[in-house]
Amino acid sequence: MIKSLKKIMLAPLAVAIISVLVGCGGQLADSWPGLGIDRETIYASLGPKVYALNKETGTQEWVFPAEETKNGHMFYAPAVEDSAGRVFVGTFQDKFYAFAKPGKLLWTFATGGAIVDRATAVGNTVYVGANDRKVYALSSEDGSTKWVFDTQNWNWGSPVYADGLLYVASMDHHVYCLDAEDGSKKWDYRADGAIADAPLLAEGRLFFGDYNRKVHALDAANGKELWSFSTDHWVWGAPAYYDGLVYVGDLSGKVYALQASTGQKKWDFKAESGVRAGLVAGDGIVYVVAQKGQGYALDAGSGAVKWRFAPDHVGEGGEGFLSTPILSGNLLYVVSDRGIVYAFSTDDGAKKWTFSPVSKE
Amino acid sequence: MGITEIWTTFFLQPMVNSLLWLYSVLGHNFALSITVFTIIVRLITLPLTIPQMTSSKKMQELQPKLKELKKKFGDDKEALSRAQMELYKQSGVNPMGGCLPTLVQFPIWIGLYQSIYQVMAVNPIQVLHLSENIYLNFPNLSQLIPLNDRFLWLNLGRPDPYYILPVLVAASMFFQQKLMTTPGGDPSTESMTRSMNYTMPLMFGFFSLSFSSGLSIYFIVSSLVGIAIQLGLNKYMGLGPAAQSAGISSKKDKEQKGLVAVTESISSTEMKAGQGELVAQDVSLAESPATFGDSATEKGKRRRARKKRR
Repeated sequence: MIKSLKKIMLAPLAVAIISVLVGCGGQLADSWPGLGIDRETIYASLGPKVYALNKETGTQEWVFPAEETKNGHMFYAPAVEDSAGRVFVGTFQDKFYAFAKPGKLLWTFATGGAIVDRATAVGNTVYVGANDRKVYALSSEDGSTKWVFDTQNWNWGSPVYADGLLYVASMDHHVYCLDAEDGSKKWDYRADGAIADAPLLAEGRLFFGDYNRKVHALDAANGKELWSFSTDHWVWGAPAYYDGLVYVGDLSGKVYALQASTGQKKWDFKAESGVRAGLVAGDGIVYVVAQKGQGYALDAGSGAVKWRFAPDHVGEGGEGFLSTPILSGNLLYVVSDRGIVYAFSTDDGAKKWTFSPVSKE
Repeated sequence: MGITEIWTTFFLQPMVNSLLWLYSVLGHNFALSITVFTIIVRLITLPLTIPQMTSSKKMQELQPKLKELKKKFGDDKEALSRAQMELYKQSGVNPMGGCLPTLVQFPIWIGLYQSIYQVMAVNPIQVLHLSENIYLNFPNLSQLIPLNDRFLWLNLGRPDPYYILPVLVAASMFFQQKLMTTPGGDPSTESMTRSMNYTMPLMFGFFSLSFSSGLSIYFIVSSLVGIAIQLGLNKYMGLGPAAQSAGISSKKDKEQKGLVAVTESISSTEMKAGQGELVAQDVSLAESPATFGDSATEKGKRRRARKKRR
């Protein structure tokens, strides 16, 4: 009897151990879906596929790759299109793809690590950072390497291009200013925490937040710090800029409006859950999406809620917002962590269209 | 406060933050931090591990005796149960003694594993989870993220490209299991134990092909610590084949010799059915040195005692 009792007790233990091990070590989602945009198309990177959607109607125009990926797990970062109509997208499986519409593969480039955010395409060059601690400048035409810049840790944020210079914020706590032509370093700045998203360039200044709960403003010309501001939690998403104010959210759900020139706080707002995504701003409104599926349109001057938006499935176990929205024209594009894309009117928050890959397949 | 919050607040978060703190003081070497952290946690739980190992060992050592009792009493379950309980009582073994420490240690193992998994966050989803469990007011912990994932030839967040770690995981686990089990037990359980000795290490070795190297390091260190503890117990408490092969005699040895006498006396009073069977049982006892740690001299003494009884 004792033996069978032991078996009864130990069997669930063994099962629990194995399920915990397998569950924790298994193949889970790497990141959240991402959105990209060009003149007519929204590119929705939803796990194993990139969907090209009509901006106005949300109808699927084409998908890349057309077939299921043979090697199973694939996770796409947000896509970007260059002026020649080539679309670039990296993956968490160390591959970078260039394809022509509608989804015809042009070339592939192998990195030594995952690509988390979208590339930056300028002229005939595409710039992309990866988890192999490198930033690559590749030829847009054939994917050949123009230069490689080494950082000291992962690179999760998109490089920012302006006037022949490339600004790269890295998880190694640094912001680097590189010559976009040859990758030589002009200056660097070291923060106390990792920088997980792209810096924002406005008024000749770079604004970004870090995991050490700070927002920084640097002089883009020389990398000198102009001011810093302490937040309640990690800052992950990129800030937004509108009319002399910089807007930034943190993982506690706090949103701050700071004077771009001094870093002085004008107002703050507390979302109902953490703000992981970057903010976007336009026409006097700052758009904030929060982790548990809350969406807010805040008055840029006062922080007052003008209207709210939400995914279809809210509440416990519902959809969350982790990805940075895209603002274009009078539509705000938001993708939930379940990979459902929504277009909301910027006039009143009315839902214009919804796209779900499940319903299309 | 729900069970998840209790778990997170009292187990996971303290472990996650301790591991991060270790990383900060151990030169930002995460492989070393995992190693030291695992050793510390195993040492802290030693007071739970020792009774569990001792109890399990004693139970294994009683197996031949239990087998004999079964053989003697056959279908008389009541008498068998009484004799078994008497045997347990006289030999100072609590048959459930190994279960409670295992149950208590279980959340600690899970917490240890989960904390290592969390701290070694390699993708955005994992880092986001980590951000929920980090102590923001503990100075500088947030500055440590992301951890340095390079160690020797390894990227700690990815599987070992040369398959060295999976082999080490399987080998260390095999040796640990081998050391914990004693031959000469109940044949039915023995065959199960033997197959477990091979399948578990193989299974974990197989898992390690896809697990990140950091977790593989944890499995290896954990097994090595288990081996060290077992060897220590064998040596100083006279448990298992290692002690016997080394010919070590200790206080526990003496106690166990007493145990032989006790079980023999139970058997002789309970098994009145026939002298022949009693002799057969005693011979089987004498022929299972692995379980009782007897020396040749003791065997001789017992044989002489038997002759005298006859």
